[in-house]
Amino acid sequence: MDVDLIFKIAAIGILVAVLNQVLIRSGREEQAMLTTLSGLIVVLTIVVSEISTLFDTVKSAFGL
Amino acid sequence: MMWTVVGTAILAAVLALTLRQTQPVFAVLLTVVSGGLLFVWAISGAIPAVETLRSLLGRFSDHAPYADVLIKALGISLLTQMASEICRDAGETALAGRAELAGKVMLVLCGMPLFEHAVFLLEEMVNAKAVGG
Repeated sequence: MDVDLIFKIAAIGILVAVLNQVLIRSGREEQAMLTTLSGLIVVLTIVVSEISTLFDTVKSAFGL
Repeated sequence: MMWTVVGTAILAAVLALTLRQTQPVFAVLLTVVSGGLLFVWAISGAIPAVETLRSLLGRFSDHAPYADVLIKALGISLLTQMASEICRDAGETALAGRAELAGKVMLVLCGMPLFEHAVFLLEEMVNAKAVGG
């Protein structure tokens, strides 16, 4: 739960965008798609742990 | 605290705007994470206020859990609002509407014991009036 997480996700996004462009320009569309997919999965695991922290906080604060 | 929140919000907005041109999915995930972070900060700041409200309302009601229901409804509203706004930002208006619908149903279920209590009180009053008159 820190601002570092935002930087991490933005860095992964920019990296994936650059890799995507490079791979598409060199004619490897499949590898570009796989790069996007793997980046998405990495970010999704981060997001899922974050959402679980959020739910725990809301549960303890509001007595849900 | 306040400067951290303001800075994080602006930073996340700029980064999401940068990512949206090339990779919109990552922009949505970035807004989800930063929104969750800001939400957690706000909620942890509001916990003392919620506890005070709970103890104040608990003083006036001996058997009916008014404060618990009120605070629970507040939590449900905030969570479903967050979910529906994320869906709307991602361009899925229909999913946002379903999330809001689920939140409304849960709010009705949450407030049903209080409604029962009110009807019970009304019935008692009517019976007392019938016996007395």
